[in-house]
Amino acid sequence: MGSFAWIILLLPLAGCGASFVAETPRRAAHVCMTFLGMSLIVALFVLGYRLVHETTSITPDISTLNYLSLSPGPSETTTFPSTFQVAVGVRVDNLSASFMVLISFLFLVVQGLGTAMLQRDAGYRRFFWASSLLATLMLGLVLSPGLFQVWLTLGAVSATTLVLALHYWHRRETTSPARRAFSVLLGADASLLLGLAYIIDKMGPYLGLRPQPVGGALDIFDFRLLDPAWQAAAQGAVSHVGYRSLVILTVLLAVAALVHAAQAPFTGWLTGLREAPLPVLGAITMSLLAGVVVLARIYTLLMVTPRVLSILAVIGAVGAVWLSAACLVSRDIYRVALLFASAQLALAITAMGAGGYSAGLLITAVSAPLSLLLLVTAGSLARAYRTRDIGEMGGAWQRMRHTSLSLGFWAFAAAGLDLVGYDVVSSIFLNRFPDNGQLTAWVRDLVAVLAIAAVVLTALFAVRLLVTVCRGTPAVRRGFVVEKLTEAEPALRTLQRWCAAATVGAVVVGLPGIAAIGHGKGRVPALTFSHWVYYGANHQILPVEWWAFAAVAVALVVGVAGGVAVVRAELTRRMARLGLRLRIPTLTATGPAAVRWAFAFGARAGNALAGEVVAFDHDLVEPLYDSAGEGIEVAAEALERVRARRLGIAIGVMLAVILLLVGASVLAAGGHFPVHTT
Amino acid sequence: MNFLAQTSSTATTSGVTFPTLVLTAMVWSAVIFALVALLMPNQTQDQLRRMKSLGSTGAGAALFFAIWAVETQVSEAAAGTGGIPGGDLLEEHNWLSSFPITSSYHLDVDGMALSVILVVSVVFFCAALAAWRNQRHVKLLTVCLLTLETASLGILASYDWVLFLLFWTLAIAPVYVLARAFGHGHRARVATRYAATSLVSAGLLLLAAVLIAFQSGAHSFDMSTTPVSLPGDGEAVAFWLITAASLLAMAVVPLHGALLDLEEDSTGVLSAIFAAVLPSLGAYTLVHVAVGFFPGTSGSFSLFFAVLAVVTVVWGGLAALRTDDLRRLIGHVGTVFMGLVLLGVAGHTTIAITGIMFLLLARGLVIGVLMLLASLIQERTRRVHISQLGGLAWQAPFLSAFWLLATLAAAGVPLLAVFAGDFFILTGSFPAHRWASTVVLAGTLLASGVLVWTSQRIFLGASRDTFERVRDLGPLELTYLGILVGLIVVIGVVPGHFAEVFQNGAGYILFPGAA
Repeated sequence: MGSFAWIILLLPLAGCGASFVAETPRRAAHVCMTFLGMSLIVALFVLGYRLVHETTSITPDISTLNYLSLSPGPSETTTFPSTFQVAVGVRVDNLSASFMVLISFLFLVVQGLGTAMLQRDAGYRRFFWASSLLATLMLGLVLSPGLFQVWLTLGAVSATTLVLALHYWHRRETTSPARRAFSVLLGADASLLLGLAYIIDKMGPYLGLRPQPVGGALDIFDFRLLDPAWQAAAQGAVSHVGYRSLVILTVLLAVAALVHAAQAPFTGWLTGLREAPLPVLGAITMSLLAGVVVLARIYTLLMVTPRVLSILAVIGAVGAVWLSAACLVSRDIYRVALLFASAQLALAITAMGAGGYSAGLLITAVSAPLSLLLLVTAGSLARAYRTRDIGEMGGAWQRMRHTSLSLGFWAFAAAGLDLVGYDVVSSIFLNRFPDNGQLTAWVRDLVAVLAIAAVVLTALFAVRLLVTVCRGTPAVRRGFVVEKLTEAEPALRTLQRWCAAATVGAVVVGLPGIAAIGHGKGRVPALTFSHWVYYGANHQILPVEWWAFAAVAVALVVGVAGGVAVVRAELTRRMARLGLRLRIPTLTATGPAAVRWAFAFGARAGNALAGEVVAFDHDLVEPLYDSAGEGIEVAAEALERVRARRLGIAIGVMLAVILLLVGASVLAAGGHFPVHTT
Repeated sequence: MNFLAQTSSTATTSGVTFPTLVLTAMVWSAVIFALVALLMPNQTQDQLRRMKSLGSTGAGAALFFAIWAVETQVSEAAAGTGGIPGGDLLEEHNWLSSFPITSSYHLDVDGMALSVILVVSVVFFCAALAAWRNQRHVKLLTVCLLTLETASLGILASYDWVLFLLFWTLAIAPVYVLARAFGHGHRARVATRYAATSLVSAGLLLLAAVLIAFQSGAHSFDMSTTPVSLPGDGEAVAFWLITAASLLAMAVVPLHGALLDLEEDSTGVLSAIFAAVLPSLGAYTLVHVAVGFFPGTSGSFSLFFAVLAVVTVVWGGLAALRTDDLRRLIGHVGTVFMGLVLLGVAGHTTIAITGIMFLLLARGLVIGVLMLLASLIQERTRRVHISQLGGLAWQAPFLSAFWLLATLAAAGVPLLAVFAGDFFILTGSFPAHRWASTVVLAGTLLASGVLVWTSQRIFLGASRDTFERVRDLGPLELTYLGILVGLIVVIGVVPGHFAEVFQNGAGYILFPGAA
């Protein structure tokens, strides 16, 4: 399997390379897509093989190559592993087998989006080679046998994101956000690098003494070495490594993961890129999966630092509420799509933080094609309406039936039918916080409340978006002729179908309660995701929890009703502005007055709250990046003033340095120098 | 096994031993071509062309022997002998044996020297190609470039103090002449200032050499016996003399002014050489001589180097942020790299020192590319300041792509040359200096951000009418920049090719007895 996995990894890279020698950009696109398609086929084969070989699927199949190898000096083995060796390679386990298919498929759709939306674009060829490269790197990340390759690929993902985000390099509104995004991602990579250094610092000699895992080259950052080492450290078996050290390490690694997944408050880098073309946004959005994959790979470490795991759950839940609320009041449909993708990953992180490893990964697998579906649909709508402002759209059901259906599919899936809400809520209430992780019951309750609130808000904005776009009539604008509003072109419709089908497929394999299929040799352990991708030795079976279903169903109903109410309240306000002054309230249709008022109050309160959240996001969180930059600039300006007088200062400093050197020499000669670090 | 070594082994059977001359050829080939150039006329265009081809050939010959030396050592690294002095490449002949203090013609290389030798020879070769467009003082440029290359390679291959100081002082003259002849702005002041700084560093090194020769009791200028043991306070004094000389040459804060001015006020090709090569020679001296001779003393002062690293990186990053001159900005980024080198010295571990070797190799290539591109930009646009530039990617897409790639490499993006150095220096130094490592990492992030921002200001944005006639890279420029950029990618993808030879060299520096 290892050799097959290498093929999966290298095929998109070959496509990337071949695209440079293709005669035309169009040919380059075809080459890239062909290679990526072949990669998908091989990935499907590997997945199928592992599915029907239950015994094989228990252990990972690893193939590695020595990348860098050093031997520390004779007296340094107390600080470093006796062999400082890192490897690159592939690790085919159930997680990587599943996500290889997912990533190949998603990037194929993204490239399909590119062929549909970037024709005659100057950066056509660039988009294809860069997206193929990004696909390769994402596959490399998923297949990482160790933390070193994770760092390697994440760093390259950051650089490729910059190249992609600079698609419209001549527009100021895209170049500055691209630079900002790269800087933020670079910071995340630095955090991961510090994590690697910290591992060496704290656990180097211990790792060096461990027996080398069978198969492939030795890698001191290999998960097969690190996982037991972390567990041993938690039990106090590794000298100089206590709980505090593990927490610091977890924080360093988790920060890198959260930034790459564009989680609050690090969402600004993603939403700032919304002026880039839609296929680029699709590719970058799909690269957010990297963050969740990193968390999945370090899950053993998270399990031995349960407090951090609990905090991660809280961060995920707060982020989900935050991002969903921001979606609710955003008028830019691209921004909504980006925030939605981030919010869904926040729910995945919440589930993982609550101990639901399988559930978190399942949410990721379900939400990725669903987010892509929204992006494709948003692109179709923005193209047809020649605007990204949701408020200026309307009447899509009359003229864009297929796209409306796709949007409807997305809306109802996002509102709860994709079972993401169920997965999160059941994970929380199944109480999978690891031992000592239950700081107090209120943490669990808080996370549960926040998760349900996020589910409600998601349903709310999904329905609002659907109703706003599909009903009514589009706003009258100069240069926009309503009669010319037509359905999206066939290629985009096909992509919408593919994304919808992938979402259905992901939801189906995630259905709880499905047991093994078949008997004997051809037995498939289960189509259920949680039977297939799980942490540790035991399946994390998601049982059918009717009360969880009920909770999510209630959330769905409340969300949908709220969404309708919000739309109608907006219509009311619009009418009020037109002078109708609420003479005929639009919420009167049916129901008792109390319900009507409750709806109206809820809608307005929700709207007001979400407005505040977005204002906070706009006015505080996003400027944080800028203010940090400005702060540095002020410091640099002060330095510039110093530079004007640099001659005198330089002489003074030189004299001081010389005095320092002389003094240090004298002290050293007498053996009195106070610092001895080696 | 190299050709000359094969000759040697074959000849031994008949009782005759031929010396291995790879290092001699590497060091002196450039200056031999310089002497030939000196004798050639340079009146007509044909003669000028011949002169330029002579310069390129001289630099190419040095590069050929440098690659030969490097690959010989790499092939021997698996056996544990590559990267350690005393191998096949050793050349030692008695020279001043009748004096009270003996000296010999002693050339050899270790892993540290190999990393800088490779980058020096590649940068000089590319600079010689880049100099083909120059029409002014062709003979002077050719002769001085080749002489400077010989001096640089000589410093790296010398294992005798006399030879080392000879090459060190030899390097001062061509730098001074080139800066005076081809500079602009305050070129006279800048050239004089740098020459004075270099002479001071040479003087400090001379003092150290004399001190070591007399106090060690060996009465020899030989540099191959390490670690050096001196009685009393001699060890510390010698260490600080060499360190001070190295820091002057490395242009670390606060001693960076002279080199930065030199880079700012020189023409393109020269600023590339000055920025890529000269600080590397200082770093080589610090690591190979100061740390290698006195590993114990240098380990005791690791906090000093850690603090200096922090100051250099933070200062360099902040200064780069406010600098509007393109070449000066690149100079500041080069200073930041030197801060990383200091952190590696502070780490004082085999892994950190190996990281320094990787970093010096990568730094020379990256800074060389950036400086050459900066000079091309300034030549084409007639603009010096970044604020006057913008939208150049419209007219020069290849130039922009090369710049972006070099910028990403400088930012330490994995799979490009700098990342291996960053990785090893940080992991090697972190156990000893956690906070310093973290701050230095933050400082390098700042410098990376500045470079990306600079890329945005120069290349991106709307097209400007003033730059409508700006040309993209031509075939010659694509050739020499392609070599450098190709090496940045290749070294980034397969750093393991050099890992063993560098590691052996680091082991030799820190644990000479064990090696």
